Amino acid sequence: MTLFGYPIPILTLITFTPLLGAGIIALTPRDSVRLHRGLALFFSLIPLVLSAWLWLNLDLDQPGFQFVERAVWFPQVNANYYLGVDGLSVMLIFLTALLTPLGVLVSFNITEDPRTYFALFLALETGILGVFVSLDLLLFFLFWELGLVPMYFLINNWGAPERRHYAALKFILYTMAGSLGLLLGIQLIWAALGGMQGGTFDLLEVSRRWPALQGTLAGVPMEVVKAIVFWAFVIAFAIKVPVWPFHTWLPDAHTEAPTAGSMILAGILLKLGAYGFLRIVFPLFPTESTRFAIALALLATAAIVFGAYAALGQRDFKRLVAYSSVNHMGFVVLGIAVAGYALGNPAVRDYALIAVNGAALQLFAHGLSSAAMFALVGVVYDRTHTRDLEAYGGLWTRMPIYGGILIYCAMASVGLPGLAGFVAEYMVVQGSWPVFTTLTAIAMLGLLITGAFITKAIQKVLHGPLNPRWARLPEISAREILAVAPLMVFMLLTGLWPAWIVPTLNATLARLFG
Amino acid sequence: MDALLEWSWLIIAFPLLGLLINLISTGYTRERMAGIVASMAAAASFGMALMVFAALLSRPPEARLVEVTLYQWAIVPPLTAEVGLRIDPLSIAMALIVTLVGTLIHVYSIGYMAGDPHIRRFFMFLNLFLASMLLLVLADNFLILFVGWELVGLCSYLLIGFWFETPYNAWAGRKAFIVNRIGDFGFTLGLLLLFWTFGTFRYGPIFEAAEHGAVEAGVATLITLLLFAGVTGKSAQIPLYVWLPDAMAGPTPVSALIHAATMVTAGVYLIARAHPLFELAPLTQGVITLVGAATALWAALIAIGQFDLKRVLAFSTISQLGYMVAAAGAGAVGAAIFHLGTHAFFKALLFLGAGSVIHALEHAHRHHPDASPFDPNDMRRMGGLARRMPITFWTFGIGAAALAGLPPLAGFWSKDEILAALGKAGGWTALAYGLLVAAAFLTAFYMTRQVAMIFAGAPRSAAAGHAHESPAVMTVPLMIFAFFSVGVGWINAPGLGALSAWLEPGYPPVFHPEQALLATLVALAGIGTAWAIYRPQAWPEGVEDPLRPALRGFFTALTRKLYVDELYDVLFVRPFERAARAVADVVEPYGIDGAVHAVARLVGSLASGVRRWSSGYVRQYGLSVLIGAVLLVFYILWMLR
Repeated sequence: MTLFGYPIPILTLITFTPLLGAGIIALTPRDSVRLHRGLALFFSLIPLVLSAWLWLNLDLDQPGFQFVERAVWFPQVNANYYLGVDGLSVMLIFLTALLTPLGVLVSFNITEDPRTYFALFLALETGILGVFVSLDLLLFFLFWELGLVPMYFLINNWGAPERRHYAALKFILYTMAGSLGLLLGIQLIWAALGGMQGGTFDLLEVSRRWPALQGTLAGVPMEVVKAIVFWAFVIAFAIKVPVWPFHTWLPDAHTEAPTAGSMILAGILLKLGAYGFLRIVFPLFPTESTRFAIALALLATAAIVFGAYAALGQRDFKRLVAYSSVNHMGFVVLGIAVAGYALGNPAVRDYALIAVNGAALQLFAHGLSSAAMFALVGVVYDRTHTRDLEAYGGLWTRMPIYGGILIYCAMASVGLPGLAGFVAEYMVVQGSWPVFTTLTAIAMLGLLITGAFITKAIQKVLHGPLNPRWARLPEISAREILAVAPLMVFMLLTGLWPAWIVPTLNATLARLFG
Repeated sequence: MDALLEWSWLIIAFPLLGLLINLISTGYTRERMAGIVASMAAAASFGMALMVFAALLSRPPEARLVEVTLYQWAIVPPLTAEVGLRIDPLSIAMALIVTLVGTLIHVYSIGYMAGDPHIRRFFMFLNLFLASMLLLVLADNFLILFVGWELVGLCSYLLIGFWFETPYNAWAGRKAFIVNRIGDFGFTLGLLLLFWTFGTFRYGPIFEAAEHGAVEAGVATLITLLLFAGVTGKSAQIPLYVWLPDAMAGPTPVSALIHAATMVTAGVYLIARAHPLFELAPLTQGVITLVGAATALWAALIAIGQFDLKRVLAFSTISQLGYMVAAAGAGAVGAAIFHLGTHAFFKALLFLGAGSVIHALEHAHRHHPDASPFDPNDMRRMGGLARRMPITFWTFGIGAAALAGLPPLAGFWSKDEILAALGKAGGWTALAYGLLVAAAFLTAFYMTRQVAMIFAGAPRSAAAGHAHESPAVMTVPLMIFAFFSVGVGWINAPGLGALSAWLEPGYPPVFHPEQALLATLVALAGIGTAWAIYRPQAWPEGVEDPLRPALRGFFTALTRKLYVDELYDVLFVRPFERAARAVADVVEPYGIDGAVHAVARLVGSLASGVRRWSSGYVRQYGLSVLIGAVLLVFYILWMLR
């Protein structure tokens, strides 16, 4: 696309519009709340429109990255402002751009310093989008870290009063511990590829040169260097996904974050880790990925089963939903593990392609359902100021529309056929069955437990006699419905006709295996 | 006519349309119109099924198979799946049963649910239930069947717990959902294996491959056993039947729908549908036949000790499903579907008759309350209703006789066909045959007991003494169902054999006079025994149940459903919940998170000077970020030196 003969930098526009919005909001008067809301919504809708355009104009037959932008950024170390997208990143960009305005809508009831809140919220979007468009490792890392800081402040300053400081600190320290390794790994790659003489952060070039690299780095054999970098990357991404047992920051952060923060955390931030595996770990470490795939599958199964069990045992509504993310992201990890295994075993590539498509679709499906569930938890929390499951009871009587929406989204989350989660999880297990048969069968037990905990939540919140404390509870408002309705539409669309999205993912993922 | 077949998806679409209209309709009349809209949608679906049936009938028997592919569902080669329909005699026969019984139940519900504050929600769920069942029945591949299968489970969950203010109802719905998911665990594994064995989900290629012996017997056995695990959930067989007795917590029309037309018949349909696959696995067939027969007897036994009139019917459904499953397992698919069809009519009749009784008693209780706790389902507090509710009595009696298998009512013909099919085989099937004959005796026994307790003698409560017949909107469906319960058996009676000619051309129904005579005698013996015990003259006043003194402890065990729920509770439910609590309360916070905290403490004590920085204060955090940034800048400058 060109304008007056110049190419329009569409990815830059998508990425930095929210940051521009954040800057503008920061300049507005402190007490004009309606202006803050309006500006936040406006600046979050622009990336949505642009990313929809981006998706529609993505050429699936063209290999490699599209809409590429390249500019010299840091010539001394050969780091470039290098952006580009393919099917996988376009899907995640769209998901990010979809969830952010809905999060803004949910946040209209923020009363404590909304100006800073919305500015941070938009800055967060830029950080996330930047990760998905970056093709330069240093730039990738920059955006990766950029997303952390606003989220820290969102949890710390706008979270639930009791434990928000603890949760925010745990979130930032835990993820930073991971990203420390990420930075180290990126630098080791740069140094090993020649440092000042030919070192590069260009992801495509690194993927070409790094896997075959031999020799030593400062006297250390390359095998050892590769192992160090591999584990540094894996741990960084595993914390983010999170891969069991690196998940304990998640229930705390998700539970204490403000509603919109939880939506973004579960809906998108977790996806960064999975994206890291697919975008960086696999192309750079095919051998190591194959070797450790079984371990990853084992952890995925543990996440599915123990995550579901932990959710079933919760008394806190929001914590229950948070633990369900551990379970659902377990399916993503399982699909990724199968793909990793297939990198070195061409015989199972057909299976792995199905599984990894399922995993990518699960990123989208879980993005929809977890965001919706957190929004819906927020709806009752705003009204009752409690998350204790035992304190609700019979709310369906007072909130009939809310009840219907909650059951719909809960069923999407639990993987009911006809809605998005089923397609994704089914594709994962269908693909992983011939590769990790026993683990897949055990993972399917998770289906049973998810059914148990989601019906438990519905029973405690909606069913039973109406708790007299809530006799005057107002029904879900039009604004709150509007924040969930688009997600419901996409859940149904993806469930009934997954072919609208799967070819986009498949076009990219098929190239993962050369 | 062929163009019509292309439009057969409308059978599923009409109930969905009804759902949609009720979902978006607004205004004052919407609550009153909901039932009418939903019933019209169901009726339209029945009409469409009838037209498709006619179109299929006009073709020669060998051309009665049309596959309509609607759209591609997902493609990641080699995983392909289409949303498609298979229009053939079996699926259309099922669709006709489902839509006809479903429509009548919709109409009945207009009367039964009148005045319920959530009536619109009720009819929306009812329409969705119908659509899901039709999707299950009409699908042309296992994956889409599974979609319908799960949606049916969802609808039963929603409808059993429809009156969710009562915790028991919500609990019963949840129980149905979870127990079904246990079966679905097996079903899904079977589905995975099935796809990788045949490379497709579609019936046509799979059955073709199966008939050509392209699959090993061991694999076929494993697949079919896993699929059968799903059947034990959906069709309430041992060991997963426990959800069905509690499913009557839902409004009575829902019970009728679940027990008669939708949901529980799904498993039988699956075995019938996939019989080319099951025939490859004699071991599975043996297991199915025995499980079915054992379920038939087991449930019939428990039914004897129940006092809740709907619970008696629930156990009778489990028992009758046992007959169908046993027949389908033994390869007598025609007989199984025949019994499924006749059972749909007389079981719907019995449930709606029970609904009429409950409705009348609730109404009477409102005007003539007495001091004792009131339960409109308790047969011990009924009696003498024959005179007060003649239409309900006669129609219920017809349903009971049809269920007991008295000639020439519907149940006689179909049960007879099952017994005849099983009787001629030897080995384990002979054992199943014996179990089913014994179950036939008990069936006649408990139905006679039920009729006697509800309708005979003198009223045993004020409500029963003041009950009145239900309104026409309820009694007319009863009479229609009674008509079918008498007549529907003739469609496959010897000499006519219309159903067999439709389902399995060239295999007319077999009729063994000695078999028919035996079955009739068994049924009569059951009725006679029960009447001897429960006739009003033999039943002294103040005795709860004449059978209790005779059976003593065993009768108590029967009333407690042979303690199966208690057993499952101890063996599975509580350990499961304990494990969940252990993970949530111990493993997570102290195990995994404890390790995380230990690492954090370790880092902290190693750098005790830095420890005060991670105090949680934002300003200190900001300072550390600043210092980090400065260090980074120096580091980069050093790199660039």
